[in-house]
Amino acid sequence: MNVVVIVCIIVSVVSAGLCIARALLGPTVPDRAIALDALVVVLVNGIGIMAARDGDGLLVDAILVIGLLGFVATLAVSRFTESRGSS
Amino acid sequence: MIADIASALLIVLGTLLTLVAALGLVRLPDFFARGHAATKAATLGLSLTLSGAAIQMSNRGDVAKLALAVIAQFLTAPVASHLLGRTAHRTGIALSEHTVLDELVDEPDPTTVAKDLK
Repeated sequence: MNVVVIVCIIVSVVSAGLCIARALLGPTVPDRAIALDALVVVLVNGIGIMAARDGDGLLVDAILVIGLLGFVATLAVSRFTESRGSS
Repeated sequence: MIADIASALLIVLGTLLTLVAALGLVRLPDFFARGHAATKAATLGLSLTLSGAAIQMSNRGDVAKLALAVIAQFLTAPVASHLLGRTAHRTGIALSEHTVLDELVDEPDPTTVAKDLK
């Protein structure tokens, strides 16, 4: 189990790096928004791995809250971009 | 023992799917392809990882909370992706040159139709 956790955390760090690269490069605002949305998913994924390692209930609350906050943030960026243009 | 193996298998699969999502985000040619890769792969990957975590939980309430998180992810991820895609299409983001068909391009713009009627 410990080996699995370490390997999964390393893979998650690589995924997060790729998402950050797209968020920095991405030519338009929706590109950056979808990259940050994917970054939130990678983060929640990582917290899920830690929760599975410890069997810790506190981290489960964090998973719920961060997941829903990511949705609200994407929604806000989308509405704002639609009224302002996405250059 | 079997629970540990099942949990580890689910977590590895989920993490690999989020890696696929991140790879698609970097390598695919235009916004719409990237959004498709990120949303689909990430939704399934997160659900698998959280299911694997739910197996490890000793408290039954934590399992319920994880199930709630999976359901919320399944409901909200497609909505967020659809909203971003709609915004991108309306603000005129360029499609990749490999695009075969854009079904929304012939849709009459409601504002111009209203002007024509006047």
